[in-house]
Amino acid sequence: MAASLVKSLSKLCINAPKANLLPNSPWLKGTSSFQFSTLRNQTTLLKKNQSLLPAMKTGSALDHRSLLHTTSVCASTYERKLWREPRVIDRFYRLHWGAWIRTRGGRKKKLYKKTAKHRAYLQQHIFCTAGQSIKLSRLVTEHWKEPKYFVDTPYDPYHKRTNCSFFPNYPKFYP
Amino acid sequence: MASKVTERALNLVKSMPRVGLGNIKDLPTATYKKQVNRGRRQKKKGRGDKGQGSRNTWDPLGYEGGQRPLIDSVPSEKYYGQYAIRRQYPPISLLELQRMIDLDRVDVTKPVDIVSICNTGLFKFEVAKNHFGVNITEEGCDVFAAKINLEIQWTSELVIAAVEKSGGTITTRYYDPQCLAALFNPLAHFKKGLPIPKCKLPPQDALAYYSDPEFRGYLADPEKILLAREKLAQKYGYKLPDLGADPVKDLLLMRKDPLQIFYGLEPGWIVNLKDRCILKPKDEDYLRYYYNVH
Repeated sequence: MAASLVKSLSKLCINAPKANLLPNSPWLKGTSSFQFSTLRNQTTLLKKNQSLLPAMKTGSALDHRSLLHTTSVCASTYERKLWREPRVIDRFYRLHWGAWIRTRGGRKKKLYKKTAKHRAYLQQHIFCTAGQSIKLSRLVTEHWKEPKYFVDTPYDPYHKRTNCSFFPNYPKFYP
Repeated sequence: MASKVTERALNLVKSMPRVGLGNIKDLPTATYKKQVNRGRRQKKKGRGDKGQGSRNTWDPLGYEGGQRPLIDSVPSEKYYGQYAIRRQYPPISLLELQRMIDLDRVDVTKPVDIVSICNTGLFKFEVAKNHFGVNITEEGCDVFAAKINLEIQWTSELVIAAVEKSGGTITTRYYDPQCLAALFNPLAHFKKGLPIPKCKLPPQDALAYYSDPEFRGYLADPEKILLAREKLAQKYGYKLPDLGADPVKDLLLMRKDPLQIFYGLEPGWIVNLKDRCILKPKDEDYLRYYYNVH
């Protein structure tokens, strides 16, 4: 069923002169029979230009070994880091609407003598008070108050206030 | 016979005072020396009387009068770990996207990618702030009803389901910062006269996401993507529209090459806006560079 679907879809993909990956890529290995041709039936950028340069080497420039391994970027230059008060940034987290959250003390210490309920209580991340949040906002620069759009963090759903009549989420208006 | 306007002007000039040194303004290029403050009036240098302000004995940051400050008493937690390196994806909701389509800000008869979204002027991102593209959020997944060929940088499963249920296709695609700068403002990039850059492969920690058929990655196996479409339709309980019988199937199946960043343009080309032509490289070295991954 899947094969027939794939076969029917193979005719649908555009045979445009747009370039595509070279056909001998590792992630196409073992699927030499598939027909879905965005990757297969079309000329590659390289092959397309073979006519222009017949003398050029047209072997696979993609080394199989290195194809699925890209260089691991581990850059952290001084220039990219902005001024910060380390004692604030190491301990608190600012939500986009102005609240700061923190952890409880003792959540990693002497757990053997703590009940499960106590351990769960200590695992919580809690809000700072309004006064504390104001003070923390004064201790950091404007850069730290701009929203950071990290993805797949546990704090994602908390950047918007819900169920609060004093700070409602108005939908964006597009004229 | 002079007109009324010229008569009035002449009368004005006649009634004005004589031009002299006292009523002339200096040229804009004139520079003035900084006023040096000397004498009794500048005794305190603008710092006021006594106190921390004048003696520069400010308390350290976070000081609370001697009591253990808040910023010292709370345990540490790596909330901002690697903040300067981590990728960020500014969000746009499906609802906003639908609204843009309804208001004809986005042309659905062509493939919609980050360029189309930025050209509306309603979405902006900054490469300098580690923004790596657009993240489509789930708000509005119930009301989304547009057949669209969407290409974005990050999304969730529910969004993919919503788009595919409406009969569209969705791909997640990585662009490196140099390409993103060109994509954000293609006009400005072409005006610079630089060749269109080739897109690099994603970094290691992103490679898994963009090779995943579950997230419709552009590096994923197309066969597996078809299976994933069917599985998702079963999971969320909607009937998967038939791509084969679709009148706009050509549009929906349009994809860019992994090295390509603009539809219809290849890496290495220079778009000459003034002479309205495109310059393509012929040199071996250039072609080898632009048409290979590394």
